[in-house]
Amino acid sequence: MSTVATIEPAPPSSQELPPLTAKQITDDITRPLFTKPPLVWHGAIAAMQALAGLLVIAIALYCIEGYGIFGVNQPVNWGNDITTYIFWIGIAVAGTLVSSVLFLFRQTWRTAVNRSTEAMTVFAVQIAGLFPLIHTGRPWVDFWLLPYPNDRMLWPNLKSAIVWDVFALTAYATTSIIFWYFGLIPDFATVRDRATNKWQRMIYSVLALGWRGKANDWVHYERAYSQFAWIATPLVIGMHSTIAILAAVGKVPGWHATIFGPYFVCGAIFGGLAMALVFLIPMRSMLKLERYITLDHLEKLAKIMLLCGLLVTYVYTVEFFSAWWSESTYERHQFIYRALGNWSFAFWIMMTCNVAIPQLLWFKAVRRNLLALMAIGIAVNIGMWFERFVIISLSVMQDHVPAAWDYSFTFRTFDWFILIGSFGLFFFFILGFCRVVPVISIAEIKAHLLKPSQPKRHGGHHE
Amino acid sequence: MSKGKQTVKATTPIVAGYYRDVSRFSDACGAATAAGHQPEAFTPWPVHGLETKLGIPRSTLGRPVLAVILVGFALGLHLCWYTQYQDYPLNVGGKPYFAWQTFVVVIMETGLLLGALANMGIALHLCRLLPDPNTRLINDRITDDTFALVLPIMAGKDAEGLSTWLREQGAEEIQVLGVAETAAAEEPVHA
Repeated sequence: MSTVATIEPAPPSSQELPPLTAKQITDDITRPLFTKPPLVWHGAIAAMQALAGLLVIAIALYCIEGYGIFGVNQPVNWGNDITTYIFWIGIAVAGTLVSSVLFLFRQTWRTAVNRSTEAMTVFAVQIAGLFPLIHTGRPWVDFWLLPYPNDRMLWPNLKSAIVWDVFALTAYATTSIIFWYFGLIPDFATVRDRATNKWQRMIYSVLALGWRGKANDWVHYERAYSQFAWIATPLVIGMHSTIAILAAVGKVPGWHATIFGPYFVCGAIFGGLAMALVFLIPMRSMLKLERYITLDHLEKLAKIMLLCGLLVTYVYTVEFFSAWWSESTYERHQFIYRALGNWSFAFWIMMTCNVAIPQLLWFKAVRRNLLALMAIGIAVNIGMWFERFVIISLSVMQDHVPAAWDYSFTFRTFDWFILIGSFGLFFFFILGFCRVVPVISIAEIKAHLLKPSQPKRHGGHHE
Repeated sequence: MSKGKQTVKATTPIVAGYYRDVSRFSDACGAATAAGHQPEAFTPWPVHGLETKLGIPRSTLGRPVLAVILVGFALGLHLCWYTQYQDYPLNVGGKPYFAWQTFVVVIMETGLLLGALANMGIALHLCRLLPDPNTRLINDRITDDTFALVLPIMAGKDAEGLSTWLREQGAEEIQVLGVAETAAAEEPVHA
């Protein structure tokens, strides 16, 4: 919030519109909170709720029947659940990139999209957190992962990278949620003061914590916001690097690589920004926010996506080179297996979606075409899920014990349920978010759009 | 600030001047401070430079949060040492019971998590923010498009004089709050 800059110029079609005023901005952004949602929203949220129901059914059945309802087997203990966990963590990481890293780099265009991408982080990290909790096998004793004095007189093994992940995820999820909420406080106050319904006013009043917009409070608020960004940045890098280390410290062929940390972080930003495009494009249109979330903003996201896509492509190449250079039979075999084995379709989907298709983003016409951007976003999300599947599951399929190599790993019905259900739950949250929370930071965007222009002020002095 | 500064209490009557023009409002804030009016300002968004004009010091949030982060690092380190070396030494592949490099992630995450919680908690405390279902501002538009410059009616000053002064500073609307004869007609003051 301490950065002051202007938002990108409005698209040509909206340049003829009257200049924005503070009231107009408030009206535009809070409108979805005070109007009845359209029928299409009801249809969409019902559909997403139904899909999320699949996740609930799968988890309930898993608690009754046990882990055998999923397709995992020896040696493929890490199947769909861990793949999907890393996928959703990746989505979360990109949100923090926009909210914190771009803030620290003074990329002020982020103002238009940071609230939505932070929401994406908060929802994705909660969904991601479900999967390791499922994966433990007995989720009702998951609290054993926490270090607390207990009657068993045992402590978690803090030398284990799995336990590092517990710490990383807990810290990251908690910080993301409170950071998001902190940014919302002044906007909740704006909604509170416009609410006409008694209950709505009371709820937003509680959420706004008595915010009054006092100048002294803004000083503390901005300082705290900036400090949150400083704290969240190492946390987000630590989060995905910890997952990467978790794999890299293992001896499994295909995992034991020092490049894993930056590889995972780049991949996460790549996939997360793709997810942001997938929901921002329909959201801006549904909520009539084209004047705030402009094509320029989407194009900038696409450019970062292209950069991350190139970095990911570089890592894919380096992995093959390192396997060959290592002279390790198992490493070499692993990469041949990925490209030519019985699960090679996963590898080639990954290469098509993450390497080939994003190259279209070199063209400005594609970057400024909403349908194309959305299609590329969907493709990259598919590619990124398969990337995690290739890294995690294909590596353990063919490890150092050929006698244990597994050809029987399958995707069972309940694997599909938890995968599809997680998407349903995510979009259910996003659709709900659109109607109860201002999707753009009202205070922040006003500060940027309505700051007194410097030339006018100087001109005034000369008169 | 003028000599003999008086204490402004929550019950002190006030005169509020409302502005839509941020530049004019900002200039008025500077003039009010220079004139010794002990002003308070309320804005819908952060106005940079206003803190200088109002004589608001830098936020004191930095050092306590840094201290909590450092204490968090120490606690994380202690947790690792106590659980892995002191209370339950577990031999993992013949590796040392305690090697700080192994515990970097735990130490970092503990420190930063506590730092984030402290950052939130201290900021809320400094801004005196607590859940309140009945919050009422002196003017609801303060969180929308209106800037408020609030002057306390201290001894030796009167509402009329301060209202005139605010009008001279470009205030578009004036409101007197908390004065005995007008208070009954007004909404609760939350400034």
